Amino acid sequence: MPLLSYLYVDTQRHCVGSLRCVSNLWIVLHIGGLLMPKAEIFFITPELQQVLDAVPEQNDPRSRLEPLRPYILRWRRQGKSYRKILRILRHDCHLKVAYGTLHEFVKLRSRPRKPQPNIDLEPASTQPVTTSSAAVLPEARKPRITTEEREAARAALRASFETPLFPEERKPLFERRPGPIRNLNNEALGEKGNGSSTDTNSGDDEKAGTKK
Amino acid sequence: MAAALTQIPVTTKKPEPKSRVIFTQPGKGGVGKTAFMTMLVEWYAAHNTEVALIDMDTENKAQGSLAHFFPRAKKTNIHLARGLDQFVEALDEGIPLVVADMGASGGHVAEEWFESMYEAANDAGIAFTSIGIVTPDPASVASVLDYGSFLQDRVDYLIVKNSTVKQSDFGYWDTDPQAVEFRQIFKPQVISMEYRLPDIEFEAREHGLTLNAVAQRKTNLPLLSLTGSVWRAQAYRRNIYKELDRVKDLLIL
Repeated sequence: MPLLSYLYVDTQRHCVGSLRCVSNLWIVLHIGGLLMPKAEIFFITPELQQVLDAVPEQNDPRSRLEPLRPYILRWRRQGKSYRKILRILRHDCHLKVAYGTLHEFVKLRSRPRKPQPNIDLEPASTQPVTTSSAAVLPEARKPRITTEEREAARAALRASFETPLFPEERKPLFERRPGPIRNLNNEALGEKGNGSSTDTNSGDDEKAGTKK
Repeated sequence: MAAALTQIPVTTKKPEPKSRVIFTQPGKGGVGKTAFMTMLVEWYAAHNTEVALIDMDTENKAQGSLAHFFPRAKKTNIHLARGLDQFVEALDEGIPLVVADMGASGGHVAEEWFESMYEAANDAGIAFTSIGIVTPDPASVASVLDYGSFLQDRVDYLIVKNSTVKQSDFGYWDTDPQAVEFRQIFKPQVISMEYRLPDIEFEAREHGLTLNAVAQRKTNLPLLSLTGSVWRAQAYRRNIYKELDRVKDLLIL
């Protein structure tokens, strides 16, 4: 759904508020020059709709210097001082402007801003000026990363820590168990010996049994 | 992402060593460690191979240790903080083979050294051959197994069956279940050192003479100059050299 924004103006067409429509709900962004501390949502009434419909599509320039903006900016680019521009405005355009006003006007409009209409008034032979902010700010050229990309980067970061820098201690191949070292040859001999004695014993038992 | 990771196969084959340290396992005393090492050093000499010698037997201070037979052997106290560093520092001198006689004590020190230094030594391409001496005495077998339990497969094993008595019975080494397990796991090379007449061996040791010196009649000592003694020494030497030639892969690069 397209996002709709409106300015709310008084009879002198001064902006007194702004609204934004989001999913058929109107959000008050600011009233009377003050930002709303908290966005308020309300349903639009037919009366309000009438007011809103009367709002011109494009806001008028707020500064008397606005019509002269291309010239002023060009003069600044040509290196003319603020005082010289003030003199030109006063003598040639019959505009009395304070030094601070002109300075503020130039400062605000010289900043890189969102894409806007080309204001270049240079001769046709010059290259067109790119007003895209992406062309002005190197960091702005970086595309915004998506959630998926961020997750992937996070997963890659975690994966790089999965492998320990040093191999974990592995299970020993051989473990010496406590206890005496055995000579199975001797034990076999012993068993043989025990076995014969057992036979002897059993023989004795038999003898004993016989006696009984 | 995980699928992009390459699984590197782990190879169990050890790389060709750049140098090798051959050392006797500390442990049971009097099993013939130094007697074997003197023959080993002579064997290297017979093959015109230079080796660095380190004598870490602190118990036999004057007589009976490796330095007594080979004065060029570097005597080092294993109990010093950097005593066993001689293993690798000897390699810095440019000789790729180091023969170290450890003596009976110092097993714990050697264990600590291996724990901290083995990885770096391994990375530097140093291989280790651990020589365990077994006799008919079960304590000698226990000592070898104890050391095997610690060293694991970080070293190559050479087991020397030293016949300390005539017709020695190695039943403890041959049949003890743990000794069998040790052999199955580490597959040590096993050689025999035949019984030597004590009077010849003791007399030679007393005077710092190797069997090779006796075999080459390099002594005027009455007992050792006897033809019978010389021929016996030559026979001992011949037999042990044959055995060592058989397991040379553990003793060279």
